[in-house]
Amino acid sequence: MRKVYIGLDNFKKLFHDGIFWISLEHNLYIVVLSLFLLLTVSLFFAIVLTKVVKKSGFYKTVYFFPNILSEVIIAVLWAFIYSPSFGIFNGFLELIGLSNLTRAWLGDRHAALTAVTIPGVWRFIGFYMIFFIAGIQNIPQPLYDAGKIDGTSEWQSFWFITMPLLWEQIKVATVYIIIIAFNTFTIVFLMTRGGPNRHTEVITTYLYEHAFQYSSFGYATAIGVVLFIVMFIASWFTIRVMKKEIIEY
Amino acid sequence: MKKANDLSILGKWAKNIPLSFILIIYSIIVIFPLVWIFSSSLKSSIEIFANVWALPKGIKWQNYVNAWIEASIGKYFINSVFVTATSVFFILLLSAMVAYVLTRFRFLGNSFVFYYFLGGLMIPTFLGIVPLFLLLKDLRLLDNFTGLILVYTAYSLPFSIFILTPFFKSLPHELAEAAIIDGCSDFSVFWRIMLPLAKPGLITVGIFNFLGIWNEYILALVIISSGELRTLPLGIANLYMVQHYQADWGTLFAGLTIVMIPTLIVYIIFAKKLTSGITLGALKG
Repeated sequence: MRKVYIGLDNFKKLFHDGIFWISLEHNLYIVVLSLFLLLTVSLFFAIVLTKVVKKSGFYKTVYFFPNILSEVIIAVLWAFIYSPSFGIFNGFLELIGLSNLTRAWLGDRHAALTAVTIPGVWRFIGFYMIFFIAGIQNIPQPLYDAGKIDGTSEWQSFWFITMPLLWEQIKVATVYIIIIAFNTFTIVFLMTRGGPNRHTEVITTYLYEHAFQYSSFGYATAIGVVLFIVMFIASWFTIRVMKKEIIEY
Repeated sequence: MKKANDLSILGKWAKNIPLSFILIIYSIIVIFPLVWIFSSSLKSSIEIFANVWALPKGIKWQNYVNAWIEASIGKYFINSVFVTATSVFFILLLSAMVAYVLTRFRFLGNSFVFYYFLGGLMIPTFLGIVPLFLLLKDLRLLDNFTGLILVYTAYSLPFSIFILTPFFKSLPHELAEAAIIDGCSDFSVFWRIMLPLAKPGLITVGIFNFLGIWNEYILALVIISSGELRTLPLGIANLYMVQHYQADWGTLFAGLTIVMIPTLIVYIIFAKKLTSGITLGALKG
């Protein structure tokens, strides 16, 4: 293989590559949707399982389980769940009388991107829940007791005690979710290959296509470098925005 | 005060019924797909298409035989066991040695070495994947287990060292000094005293690496190309592609069950260890 120095040509080409920008947009959609679903749902479960339900061992064990499955299994499993011919998702919609909503989820250009985001969320909810539970259990109980004496409602103790003292964990979780969402590969690669018609193309699948289908390694590496820079800026920005005075207790 | 009371009564009511309901619904969302895989693995393709919800009529173990022998899942299983066991062995050996030396000995560049390894945690797989591919190609390590094991070991070292260093730091220094006075060499202090004491840390690192490597897909996809060297995730992914044309879904479901069983066993035994190690494991971004 002959190597020729071409300066920044790959980056210039990348800048004018429409598919690259579309992929980046899809990644951003996956980041935002994952952040919203993962943070709200796992924080909700973490609070319920520490403050309300006392016998939480069963739920913790079950909710965490998808996290230890191979992404390949998750991709194949969810491809079957969405399958138009025998998938349980359409089956479920028919069961509850919403059969007009059934469709080929992964083949529908409006639904496909959301459909490939959900398996990742399903996989990680238990993980972040356990992560938040560890943080909540570190908050000293006397703070809540003192609040109760002063007459705080449950919402108030959530907003003014739990949230500020859990902020560090929420920040770390946000950065993880962003990084992992930018690196989404296996699920998209196996479920849709970026299709239909590039409607689920993400940066990593586009990089793979250039590197291992067209053997344009230079261009693929340029995509990798840009992915790294975007991830780095997104994480740095998140840390800056979410920076807060550390509360001593 | 009155308002708080109202809210807490309301809260109590709200807590008991709808919350448990939500928790149970979500448990079903997690468990049901897995039960579905298992039940479908015992059905014929016709049954799978006929009714999604029905239980298998007559148990079709033949699917497992087909998956294990005809679809080569048995071979991939053995490949995966070999690759995972060898990689985890080297990861544990090397990361324990590095962590021990870094905590026990003061030398020039000590903290540089530590941060150098730590820097490895920041490199995303996709940034390095093309240079890694080309490097392995030059070294003639593409498409063989040596290359795959080397890559897995190298990729896992930063995380493992990061987890093990505090474990070794917390071990009593006096023990090592006493052993040296009794005539123990540095190596046997490490091997016979420190390593057994660091066992809880080694188990945590071992479990996380076992799961990570057993399930790994992307690096294997890039490194391995021959059919007979496929690991389980590669094999299952391939089977899934092939079944689009052959439509022998029962066999594929049986294959999925076979991949999940070892992780399920590890999870049942070590669930506590895994969930408590999450604050550490979470760092593997």
